[in-house]
Amino acid sequence: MSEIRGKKGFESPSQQELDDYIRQSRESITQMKNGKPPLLFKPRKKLPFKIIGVMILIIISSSLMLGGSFLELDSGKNNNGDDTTTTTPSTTATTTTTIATTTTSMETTQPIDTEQAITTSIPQVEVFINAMIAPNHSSINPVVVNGTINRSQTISDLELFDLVWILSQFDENSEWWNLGRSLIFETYLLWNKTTYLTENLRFELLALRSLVAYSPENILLETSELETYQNISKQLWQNISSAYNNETGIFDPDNNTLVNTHDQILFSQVLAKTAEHPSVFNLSITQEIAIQLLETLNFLTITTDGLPESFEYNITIPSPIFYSYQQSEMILALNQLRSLLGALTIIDSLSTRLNNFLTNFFLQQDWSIAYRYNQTSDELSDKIFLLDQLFFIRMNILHEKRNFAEYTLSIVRSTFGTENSSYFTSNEDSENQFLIDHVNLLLTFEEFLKLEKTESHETHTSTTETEEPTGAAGYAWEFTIIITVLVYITYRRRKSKK
Amino acid sequence: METITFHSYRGGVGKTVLSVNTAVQLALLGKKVCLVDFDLRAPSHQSLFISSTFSMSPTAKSFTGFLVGDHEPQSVINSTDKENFYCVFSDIEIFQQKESKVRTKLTQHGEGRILAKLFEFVRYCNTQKFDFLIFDCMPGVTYRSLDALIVSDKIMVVTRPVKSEISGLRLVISECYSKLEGAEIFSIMNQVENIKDLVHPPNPLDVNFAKVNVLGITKCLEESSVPIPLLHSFPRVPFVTERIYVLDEKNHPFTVEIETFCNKLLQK
Repeated sequence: MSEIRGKKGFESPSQQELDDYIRQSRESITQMKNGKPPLLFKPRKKLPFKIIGVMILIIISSSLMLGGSFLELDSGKNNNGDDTTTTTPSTTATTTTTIATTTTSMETTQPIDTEQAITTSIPQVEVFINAMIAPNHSSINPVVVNGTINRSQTISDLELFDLVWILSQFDENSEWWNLGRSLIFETYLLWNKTTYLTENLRFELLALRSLVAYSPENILLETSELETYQNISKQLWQNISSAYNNETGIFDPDNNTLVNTHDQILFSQVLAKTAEHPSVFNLSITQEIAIQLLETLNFLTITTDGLPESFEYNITIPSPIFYSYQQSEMILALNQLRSLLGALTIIDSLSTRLNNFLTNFFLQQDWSIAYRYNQTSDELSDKIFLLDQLFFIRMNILHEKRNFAEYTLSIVRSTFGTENSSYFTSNEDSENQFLIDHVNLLLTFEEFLKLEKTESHETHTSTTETEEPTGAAGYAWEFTIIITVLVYITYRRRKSKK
Repeated sequence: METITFHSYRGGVGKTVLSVNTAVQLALLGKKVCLVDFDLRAPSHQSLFISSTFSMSPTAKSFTGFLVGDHEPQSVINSTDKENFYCVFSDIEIFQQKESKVRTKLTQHGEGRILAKLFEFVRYCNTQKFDFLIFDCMPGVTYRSLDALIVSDKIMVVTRPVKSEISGLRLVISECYSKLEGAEIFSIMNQVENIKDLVHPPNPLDVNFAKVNVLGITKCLEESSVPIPLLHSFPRVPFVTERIYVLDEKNHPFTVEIETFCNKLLQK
């Protein structure tokens, strides 16, 4: 079949997938001809192995129950939310499921010491990033051909804006934080470029977000330059805010811009940074806008419990094409808005609601294992990207859901740097994301290590308050019941889909 | 309305030139035709039409935008100064944006959503009383080319009689075309070597090779498990490039061939 495959980037089915696709397409068209909605069909998955794996786990857990061993699960601080919509009771259950699936279908039977694994991975990632950026800063957008980095393409302004924003989120004055600052203010002088003032809304949002990523004290510009910088920032702000409807809390579609959640996220990130730039922004105005935006988001997400992809969509149902990374990014942006608005209840409730929605999504789709660097994996989902996982990890770190963060991180880490890590070497589609993904990966690693340090410190200071371990029988019973229920639900879902 | 897809197992066989000229010729014959540039990976119709003598204002939105749910079907169809001829452009710019997720929606399995959108478009065209809806499809077997093949009434398999084509054609017949039900499949042999009117006599060895290749393709089609009759052979005409000959050069040999081909098509 490989001989008749299309080029990379347009996914080519295997023979079995092709047969399935044609069969399902025929059924879907018949259904549409009868006035019914189209079928949604999924790529073939190796279900039997999963079921066998889960069955083995049921047996193991039953043995544990009888043997009276102690099984410790889910000791993290899950569900600190006050939203009543979702998963407090099921978090423990589904964490166990994902762990169970790890041992059966991931083929990585050895437990990973995440902290140790990350510590050893960081230098690898840094080498990747350094290889892309140094020594010639004029060409850092790599194209990877047969595993060799070809730096023939020049990085675009848009990619630089993205890059600078991510780098600005590293610890202040760290090497990476400083790299972001130098990229925008010294190497590429993006702060002084005025061409983007006439670009579309998305472009301007990205530009302004990078411009305000660093506070005035940190950007190290001369007084006259600082004035120019502030003028450009003000102009960008005016362009953007004029497209924003203060009454509805959304961007005006008549401005010929794509109205969707991504714009709202970018705008939230910009708003969050305005507090650090009082000479550019009128704080009372930005606070007012930020509150309006939050209320809009709150209103739009009450019915769906989550973030619709686009405000244009029917808000009574979540968009069928839902980008999980944007949901996570919005949660991070909400947290950043605290610098502008202080501790507001609406931030917490909205953040928890979005978190619960995404966690449910994560659990239902089991996408923690869906993505691997090796895109030939049968487990590959067409929706899950490295970026989804990285933002999911960061969201959980923020909400101190250590188990989810650690588990997803271990998935990402387990294939990083191995021969199978062909994500970075064979996926032409992702070449533009190459550098950005690595920097995001590094940021995620660093944030997780910080969480580890905080937790170990907390553990150290509260050793006298440890609870008595629960007996094995209690945990094992719980475990067995949960697994059985989940197997039944999975079976029902698959049956109903068929 | 008849939905026709021009497909081939590999690129560079002349699908675009054939499909565009066929569509325009059918329109010149009084049929109401909508031509869709469905080569989402390497769309070329926009530049082809702009460089022709066509008078059109390409104000419609991109077909890729429609497929991902951004536009309505009526907003992606361009009208032209030819009363019966309408065209739909894919949009390469969408791929160049940083919206990699949009691209992914188009390139991967998509859970049947893109197929559903395509079918919606076919239905819409049906309501608009088109006589022909023609897809210029991307080559090879990808999910998107499958979508076009599945919604088609007729499939035009474009081949070139070169040695490397034969095994691939055999494979794509057995593993793809034979699985499609309900569509009539025809083949078109394009750029068949023609010994007539050559200034320099060709090497007899090359002449023999050309004959063997034509026989190879013919045999491959004859041995197919599904009937794929040869509808037309287009002789190789030097210097035929991406142009609308039926419009620009009425007496061009390629125009004559297209006219013959269209007449055959209308009789089917």
